[in-house]
Order: sequence, then structure tokens, then C-alpha cells
Amino acid sequence: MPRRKPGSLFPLEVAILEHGSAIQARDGRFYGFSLARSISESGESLTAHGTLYKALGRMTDSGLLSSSWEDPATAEAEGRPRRRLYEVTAEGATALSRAVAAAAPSRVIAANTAVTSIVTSIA
Amino acid sequence: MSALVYRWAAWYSRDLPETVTKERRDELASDIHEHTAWARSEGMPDGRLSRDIASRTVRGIFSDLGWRRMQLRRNDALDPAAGRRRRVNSAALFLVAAVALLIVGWGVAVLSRVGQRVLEGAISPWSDTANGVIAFTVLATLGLALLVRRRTRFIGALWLIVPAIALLHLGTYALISTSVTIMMLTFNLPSWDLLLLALDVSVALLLVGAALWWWPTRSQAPHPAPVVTDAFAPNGVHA
Repeated sequence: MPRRKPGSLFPLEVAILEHGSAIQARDGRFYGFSLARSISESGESLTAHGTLYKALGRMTDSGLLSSSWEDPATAEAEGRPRRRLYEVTAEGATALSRAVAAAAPSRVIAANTAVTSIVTSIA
Repeated sequence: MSALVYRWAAWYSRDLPETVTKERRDELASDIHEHTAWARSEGMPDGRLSRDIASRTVRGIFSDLGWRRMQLRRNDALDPAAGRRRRVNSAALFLVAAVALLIVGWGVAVLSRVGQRVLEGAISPWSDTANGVIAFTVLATLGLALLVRRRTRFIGALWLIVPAIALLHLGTYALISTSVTIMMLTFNLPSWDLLLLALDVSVALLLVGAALWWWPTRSQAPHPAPVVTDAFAPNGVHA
């Protein structure tokens, strides 16, 4: 796994925070498969078990997410295993905003570079 | 397919604290259940669902191993003595498995050389030496297999002593009559016997030491089988 700069996020972590925030706004909290499915709706395959749960564990340890196990009675009443429910914390939301803001100028630079190369080739 | 996922999870989470193992297993049980329920609601054929689950498992193998390494490091920080024991255990397993593989490889190499000379008509098949090499190579392979399971590892180490020493001697003896190089080496190297004796003693000491290290004791009783508290894990995984 590549080393990261302190405070920066891996693309998967950005995706988890983005999709997690969206599910959280709608349903309150999210769980592993709901997140994998949401990420896959943007055209990617379902995130691998190992990759997803390792990232979720790491993000929980670093305070970007908080997690708690669902009440077993609720799960039993619905006839399924209990879910581990995650929430994006305030720290996670801030990290996401920073990541989006940091990505924006590079997108602008990339776009400018592309425009410059097109203009140069026309000239 | 989910049974394979649980078996893989049980393998990569072995020796980790029960709480950590259980949380990973419960999270996987939930994921697979939700995945299955979603696939059925979408009318996905079972074959496609199995392939998807297999794909998610295989793509995550390196992350699973990374997660295991991270958990072990965390444990080692909390219990340095256990960390040292685990490292010695890994080193012993690596060394003994390497010796066992070399012994089996040596037996196979000698047999292929003997077979080649038999095909050339230079020597007659089924000599006592060749039969001995075959028998001890088979025994060494069994010893190698006994190393795979933790519970039988000490038996495997002890088991390997006889075929290892026998193959060193019988193999050399078989090669003397089939290889000019080995024949010249054994006759021209005055310390050949001493070298073989040193190899015998080293291999025997290593295997006895490993067997004693792995010898089961009450305090090192194997961890209890993993227990899944919910009823959604596949048969054979939950208690």
C-alpha cells in the first residue's frame, strides 16, 4: 500500500466518506454492504471484502468514522445478522471537505493543461 | 461459496484475539447476507452471486493479509513476549519446512538420476538403494504434510528425522554409482564422512529442537474453535 501524506486520504477513503455521508443523510447510519453497493452504483465493481473492512477499520481508528454494533434484537426481528453501523464524524466531514478542496485546484490545473495543449496543437 | 469466505477469514484471523476475530467474522456474515438478499431481490442467478462473492474475496486477499499484519503488530505491542514467541514459531516453521522440502527434493532428484541410468540400461532397476530412496522420500513427504497442521507439527518434525538422515546417506550412495561427479567428490574429499555426519547431527538437532518447541502443553493448548453468536454463519463455522 502506498504511503500517504499526513492528513491526506486515499481515493477509497474519499469514496467512503462521500457515499457514507450521502447514506447517512438519508438513513441515519450506514453499514459495509450498503456502502459497497452505493460505491458500485458509480460504475465500479463491489468493493472487495478485505479492502472495504480494512479501510473502515482504519478510518474508525483514526476518528474519521464511528461505529457501533446494531442491537441483536433488531437484527433477529428482521431475520438477518446484526450489522456494524458506521457514522461519518465531524472530523471525517472536515477531512472530506479538505480532500475535495485539495482535489479541486488539481482538476482546474488539469483542465487548464488540457486546454493549453489543445490550443498549442491548433496553433 | 460463503463457506470458503469464512474458511479464508478463519485462516487469516488465526491467533488473533477472539474479539477481533469475532468482529471480522460477524461483519463478513452481515455483508454476505446483505449481498445475497440484494442479489435475490435483483433476480441475480446464484452462479453470478457466487462469482461476485468469490471475486470480492480474491480481490481483498492482500488487504486481508495487511489487516492481519496490522493486528499482529498491535498485539505484539501489547504483549511483547507473545510477539517473540510468534516470531520464533514462524522462524522454526520456515526452517523446518525448508529442510523438509530440501529433503524431499533431494530424494526426487536422486530418483530421477537413478531412473535415467536405469533407462540407459546402465544399472538394474529396483535395487535395495533405489527402493530405500523411494520409501524414505515417501516418508519425508508424509512428514512434510504433518507440518501443515499445528497440532501434528511436532510429530512431523520428529517423523522427518529418520527419512532425512537415511536419504542423505542412501541418496549419496545411489549417486556414487550413477554420477561420476559425486563418485569423484566422495573419493577425493577426505572429510566427506565428517561432512555427512555434521549434516546428520545438524538436521537431527534442528528437528528435535523444533519438535520440543511445538510440543503441546496445557498452557499452550490450542485456541478454542471460533464461536459465531448469530445463526447466519455457514455450517461448520459456528459452534
